[in-house]
Amino acid sequence: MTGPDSARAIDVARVDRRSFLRVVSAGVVGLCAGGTEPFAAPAASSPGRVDAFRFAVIADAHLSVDPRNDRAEKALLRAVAEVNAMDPQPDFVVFGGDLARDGRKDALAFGARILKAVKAPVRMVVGDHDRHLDGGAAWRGLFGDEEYAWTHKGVRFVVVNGVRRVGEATSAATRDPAPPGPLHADDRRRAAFEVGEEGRARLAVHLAAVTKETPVVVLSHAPLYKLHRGWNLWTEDAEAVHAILAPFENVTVVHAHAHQPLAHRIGTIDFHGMIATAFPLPRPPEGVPSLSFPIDRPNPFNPADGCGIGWVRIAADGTADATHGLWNREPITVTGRYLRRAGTEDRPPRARRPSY
Amino acid sequence: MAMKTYLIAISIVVGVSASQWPTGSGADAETRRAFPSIPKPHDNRDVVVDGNSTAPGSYGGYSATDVAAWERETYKLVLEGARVFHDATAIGSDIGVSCGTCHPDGSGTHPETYPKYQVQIGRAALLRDMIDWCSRQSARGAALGADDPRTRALEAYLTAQRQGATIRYGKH
Amino acid sequence: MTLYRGTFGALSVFAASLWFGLPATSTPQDAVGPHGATPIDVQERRLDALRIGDGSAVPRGVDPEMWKIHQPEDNATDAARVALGRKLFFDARLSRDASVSCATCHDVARGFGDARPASEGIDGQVGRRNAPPTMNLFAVAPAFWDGRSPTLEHQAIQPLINPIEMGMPSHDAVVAKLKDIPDYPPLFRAAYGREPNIADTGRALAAFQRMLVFLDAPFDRWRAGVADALSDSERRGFALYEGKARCATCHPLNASQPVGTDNLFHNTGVSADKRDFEKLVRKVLLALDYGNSTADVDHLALATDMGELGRFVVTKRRHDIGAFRTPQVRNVAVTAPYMHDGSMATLWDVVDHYNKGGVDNPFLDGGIEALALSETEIDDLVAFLFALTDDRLAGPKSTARDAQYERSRKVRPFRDADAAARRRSGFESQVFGGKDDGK
Repeated sequence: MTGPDSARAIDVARVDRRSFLRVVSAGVVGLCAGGTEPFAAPAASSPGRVDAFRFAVIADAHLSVDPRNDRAEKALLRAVAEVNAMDPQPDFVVFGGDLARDGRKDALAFGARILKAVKAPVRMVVGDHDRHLDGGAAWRGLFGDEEYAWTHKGVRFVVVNGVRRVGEATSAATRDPAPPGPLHADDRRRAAFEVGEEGRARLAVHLAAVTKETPVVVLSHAPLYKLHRGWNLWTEDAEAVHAILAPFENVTVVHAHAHQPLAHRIGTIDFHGMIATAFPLPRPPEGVPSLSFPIDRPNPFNPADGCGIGWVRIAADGTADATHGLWNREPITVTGRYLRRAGTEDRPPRARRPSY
Repeated sequence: MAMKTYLIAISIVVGVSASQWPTGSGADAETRRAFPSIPKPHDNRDVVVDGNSTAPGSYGGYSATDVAAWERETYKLVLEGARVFHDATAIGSDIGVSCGTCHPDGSGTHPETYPKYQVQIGRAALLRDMIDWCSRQSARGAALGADDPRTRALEAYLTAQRQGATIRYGKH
Repeated sequence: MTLYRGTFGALSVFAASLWFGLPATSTPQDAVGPHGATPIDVQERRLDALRIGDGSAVPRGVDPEMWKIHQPEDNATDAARVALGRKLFFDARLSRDASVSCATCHDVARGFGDARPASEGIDGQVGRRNAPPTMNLFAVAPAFWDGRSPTLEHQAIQPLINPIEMGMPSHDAVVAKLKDIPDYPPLFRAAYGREPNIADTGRALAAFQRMLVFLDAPFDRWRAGVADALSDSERRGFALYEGKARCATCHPLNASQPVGTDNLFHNTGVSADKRDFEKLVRKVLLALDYGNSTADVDHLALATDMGELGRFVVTKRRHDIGAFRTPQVRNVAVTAPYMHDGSMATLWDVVDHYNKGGVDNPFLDGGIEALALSETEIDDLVAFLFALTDDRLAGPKSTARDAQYERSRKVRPFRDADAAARRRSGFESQVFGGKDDGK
C-alpha cells in the first residue's frame, strides 16, 4: 500500500490476520445501515432447524404527493439507500404498512416506485392509512393480496391485515368507517382495528401448513394486542388471534403503526413494534407494555430523529432479535431473550430524557 | 399556494379585529363531537351564590348563568384550539402536516414545563414561541405570532389537555 | 488601526489567493515568517493593539456566571498563567526544528487561523484539517474538529508532538526543552508553583487562549438596544438565522452561549461526495485495532483520509460517521476558508451548502434540510454573519467582505438551486442510480 494513508503505523497490510479476524468477528464489516449487527453466515442446513438469517423492516413512510411532502419522500429514499447498503444483504425487506398518508393511488404508486429500487425482495404489509380512501383497493392493485404466507429457511412467515375496522366486513356502510378528514385526530370516534373472522380464518389456514415446532413470524401493521384505544393501538379481537397462535412454541409478531420501539410478550408470543421513517410518535398515555422501554425524546429540529429502519435477526433456535436502526443515534436491539426472560437480561439502554 | 395566501389574509383581518375571541360559528359543536376526550374546564359551580344572600350587582356574587357562560367561552377557545391543532391547512402547512400528526391528543408538548430553554430556538422560550417554531419548521407552515388567534387557541388546547399536571417550568 | 487593517487585510487576501485563486488586491507589506506565517514580533504587536485582558478580570462580553462555570477547577485564570501561556503560544522553540509555534497556524494577523484550507507544520507538511480560530475558546469544548480532546488544556499539548505539526518526539522532550530555557522555570513557578511540566504547559496555553475573547460586534450592540447598529439587511439576516435558515439550533447566540456553537457533532455531508465512507470505516477500524492511543487517533485525523470520518474515529459509534463539531460563528468574516477541511472559500459557499440541505449520505444529520432561501435571503444571511465580527477586527472584516463578495459574484461551486428548492433530493440518485426519469 502506498500513498499518504500508509504514512505511519496504519498500513493495513501490516495488520495481522488475527486482528483482522477479530474486527470481522466483531461484526464491523459493512458499517452502513444494519451492518454493525453481528451476523453469522448461514450454517449448513439441517432438517427441522432454522438457518439463521436476517430481514430488514421499513415502515410508516406516510408519503403524500398533494401536498408533496419532500421530507417523507426523502426519509423513504434514505431508508431504501440504507437497506441497499446493508452488508450482507438482508434475505428480504418487509414494508410494514402506511406507505401513503391518505391512501391516494398516486401516492401509493409513487411509493411502489421507490420500493422497486430495493435490491432484496420486498414483502408488503397493508396499513390503515393505505386503506383510508378505498378500503385497500388501490393498494391491492399495486401489491396483490393483503394476506399471504411463505416459509423461509425453516421459518413460517404469515402476513395479516391487522387494520380492518370492526364491522366493516358485514356492513357496506362501515366499509370506510374513517371519514376523510384529518388523520391522527382522536381515533376513538372510529371503529377499532381487528383481524376479523375472515383474517383469523386465513391466519389459521396459513399456519396449518406447518408443525407446532416451526418458528412463526407474523407480520402486521397494527400491534395485534390491546395497548391504547384512543390512538387505535388496539386490536379488538386480540385474544382470538392469540388463541390461534398459542399452540405454536415460537411465535414473533413484528408490527409497525406506533412509530416507536415497542416490546411485549403475551403467552408464547413475542411482539416487536418497529420504528417509522416518516415521523416518531410520543409514548401513548396508557397501556404501554412493561417490557417496552422509552427512547430519549426525539428533537423536532431533526425530523428524522426517532425514525429509521429496522432489522430482525432470526437465530437458529427460531427466536427473533429486533434492532431499531435509529437515524443519527445508536441502534437499539431488543432480543427475544430479553422478552422471554421477562426483561431481566439484555436490557436495552435506559433513556435519560423520555417522553412524558 | 392560493389557499395559503387566503389563510394569511384571513389571519391578518382576524388578527386586527377579533384576535381575543374564538369565532362562534357552531364549529365548536362539531369539534366537540370529533374530540370527545378534551377535558372540560374546571367546574366553578361552587362559586355560585344563593340569590338571597347577596344582592345582585355587588362584587363577589356570580350567578349560575355567569358560571355557565365562563365555561362555555373557555371551552370554545379550547375547542377552537383542537380544530386548529388537527388541521394542516389552518396553520398553512406546505407539506400537509398538522400539529396532531406528531402530537396525538397534544401529547409530548409539555405546556406545564414552560418557560424553558428550547435548543431548537436557541434561547429561553414560552409555549407560544415553540408553537410558532413548530408551525414554521416542523409543519412548514405559517409564522404564528404571539397574538395570532391560532396561537392563542393552540395554547388553550394544549393547556387544557394537561389538566391536573404540575407546573415544572424549565423541565426537560 | 490603519496600519493594522492594511496589513491584516493584505495578508489574509494574499493567503486566500494562494488557495482559491482570489485576485490579490495588494501585496503583503510585512515580511513573511516560516511556513508563511506573520512574523512573531508583528503578531505580538498586533495582539497588544487588540488589548486582550491580562486574566485578572472577567473578559468583556462574557456573562460572569458563565465565565465561572467555564473555569476549570485546576486552572482558574490569573495574570501569571495568562502571561506564561502567551509566551508559550508564540514560542517556536517548542517545535522540533524551532520553526513552528502555536501562532504559526493560529496567526493573530489572520483571525487566529492561517487562512488556508489545511495547516502546514514542520518540514512543510500539510495536514487535513482547517485550523480553527483560537478566539472565544472559553466556551468551546471538547476541542478539535472531532472532539478528541476533552478540554482546551488537553488539546493545547497535542500539536507539540504531532509529527506533521510541531513534531517533538515526546512531551518529555518538550518539558526538557522548557527547563533548558532560563525564562521558563520562574514563570511556571509563578503560575503553578511547580517546575515546568507538560500538564501545566497545557494549562497555561489554555489560560491564555481563554482570554482571547472577541464578542464586541455590531450584533451585540443591536441586541443591547442600539437599533441602528445593524442594517436592514443584517436584521433580516438575523431573522433568517433564527427562523427559516435554521442556524440558531446548532449555533445558538444568547447571552449565556454567546459564541454560537452547540458543542456537538453533526454530519452535514461536507466530505460525503468526495469520500466512500464505508471503505474508510473498514480501514479505520482495522487501524484503531492496531493502535488507538491519543497519538494514533491524532495521526489518523490529521495525516490520513480516515480523518474524513470525523467524530467516528474518536467514538467508533456509527452515527458519528462524517460528523464534525459545530464551529463557532463569531468573527467568521475573518476566518475563511470554512469547514473542517477548509473546502469553502466564502460564506456564500457555506450558506449554499446548507441551503441545498448539505450533501445526502446515510449518516447525514436529519436536521440538515433544504432551506429554500432566495438569493436575496442568502445575501441578507451572509450580511448578518459579517455583523458578528468584533469591532477590533473591523478592518479585516471589510477587506474579507469585499473579496468574498467579489468571488461570490463569479463562482458559487456549492450552489444547487433544485435541491435548495426541494425539487430533488440527493438520495434520489443514490436510490435510482441517476437513471430515474423524474416524477
